Amino acid sequence: MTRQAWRWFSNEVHSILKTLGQAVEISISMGRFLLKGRLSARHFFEQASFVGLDTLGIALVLVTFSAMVIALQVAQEMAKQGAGSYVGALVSISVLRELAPVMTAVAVISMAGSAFAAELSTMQITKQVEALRSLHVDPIRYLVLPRVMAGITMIPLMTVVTAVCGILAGMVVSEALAEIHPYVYLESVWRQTEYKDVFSTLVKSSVFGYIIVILSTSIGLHTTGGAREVGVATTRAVVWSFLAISVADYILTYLIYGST
Amino acid sequence: MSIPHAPVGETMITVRDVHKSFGDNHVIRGVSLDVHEGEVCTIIGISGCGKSTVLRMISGLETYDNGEIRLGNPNYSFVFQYSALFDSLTVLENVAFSLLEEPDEGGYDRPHYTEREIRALAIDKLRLMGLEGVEDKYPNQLSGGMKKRVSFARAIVSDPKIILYDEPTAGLDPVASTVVENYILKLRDELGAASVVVTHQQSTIHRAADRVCLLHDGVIQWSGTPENLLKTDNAYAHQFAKGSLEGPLTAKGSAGGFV
Repeated sequence: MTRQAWRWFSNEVHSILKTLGQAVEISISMGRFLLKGRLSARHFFEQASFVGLDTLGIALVLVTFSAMVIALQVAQEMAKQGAGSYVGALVSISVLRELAPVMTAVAVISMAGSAFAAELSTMQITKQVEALRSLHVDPIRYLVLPRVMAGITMIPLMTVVTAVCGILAGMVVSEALAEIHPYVYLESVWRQTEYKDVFSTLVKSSVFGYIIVILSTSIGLHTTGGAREVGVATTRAVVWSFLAISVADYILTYLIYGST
Repeated sequence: MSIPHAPVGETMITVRDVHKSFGDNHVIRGVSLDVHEGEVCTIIGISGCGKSTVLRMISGLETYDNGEIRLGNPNYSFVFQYSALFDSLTVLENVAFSLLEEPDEGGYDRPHYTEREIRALAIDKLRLMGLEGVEDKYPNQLSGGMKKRVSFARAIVSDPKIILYDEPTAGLDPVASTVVENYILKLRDELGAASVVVTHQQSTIHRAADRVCLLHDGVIQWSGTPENLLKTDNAYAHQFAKGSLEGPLTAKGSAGGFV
């Protein structure tokens, strides 16, 4: 039993390290294509539309309701304690620092990351990736680069939109349940929110976007086997993306806020 | 029946003493081969002998450990066993793909066409393959034989000088096989391309090949015309041609004799 558990553990560690190595290798190739200006605008906009528009709805629902729950939890209690004028700040800081980037990333993993892994792994096992190579088209330039660039650019934009909606939703809940005037709420948001919080949102969401897409595409492109492996690759891409953004979230939070 | 013609053009594919191992399995142990312009060379052999590996090494899809492979022209195409069409693109987009996408490293300078010219060229190649009115369909709306012909059209849209076919008639009925074999000859005659066909179908060997190379134990054991395959005393070729269980051709893992 212990031996089996150890074997499972060492296999998982080996698999994670291998995928990380592959992701680094793909990133280096991608960087070369980017430096040569080989990003296709058409493919970029196709992927940006998929990552942005198709995922925005889910991300909005997740962030808005999470912000509303926070407002629901604290607004009445803080108003009772005479601290109603801090509710806006609390909601906005929570949304900007954590909820918006993390929940938007969750939406992107579920919608786009899983789709990328499934699509690329299917292309890999049906030899479509080899067909690209046989037509002198590099799969990293054609398949990975536009997706990664779409992830890096669209997720921060989506996060800004979801953050604004989350903060406004918190305002509606605060007024409805604790009679905190919108002016007081927004004034609190404006007074307490720092540039660093906005910076944190943008940096986190860009890094999350990169991690999600590079992991999903890398796992997809290195799939071998049959239909079962497509399912395994998709699940792996989703689970590893969740784990990776959790770790990255801690590291980035420490780097941005840890020293203050 | 095809009329085998002697190789008269320049050498388009040169393979010299190529070796390839997968782990401990030394699959290719020194293959040498020349294929000329306007020649159809088939590589035959029992399943798992490394035929497709040789083809993949020629195309650059697989690396090799030792030896040398030279192509006389970088404009080559590969026809995959199961077509490998891009399922998210229409038939027209599949065929026009190599004209629409700029090639990356290792590619060749493709002429620049307008979108209208590309469409016309793709439709022309589809017509050459006997396909009309399917431009806007997706691969999953086509039969196996039609997919194969679309993959032929995709392979030849850039007028390649070298065409590599991986089991082009596998899984097709005899009539569809004959159609595909005729297309291989048609492309040889119309494009003057050097073609390498990996197959173990007797009909493909006898209808489409100018030259046959029999691969076994990682080396080419016999080479000659399809007619000589039936007449030769070479034990490998003789056994393959007769489909006999007695002889030197043995499947991996068998203790002796063909299993």
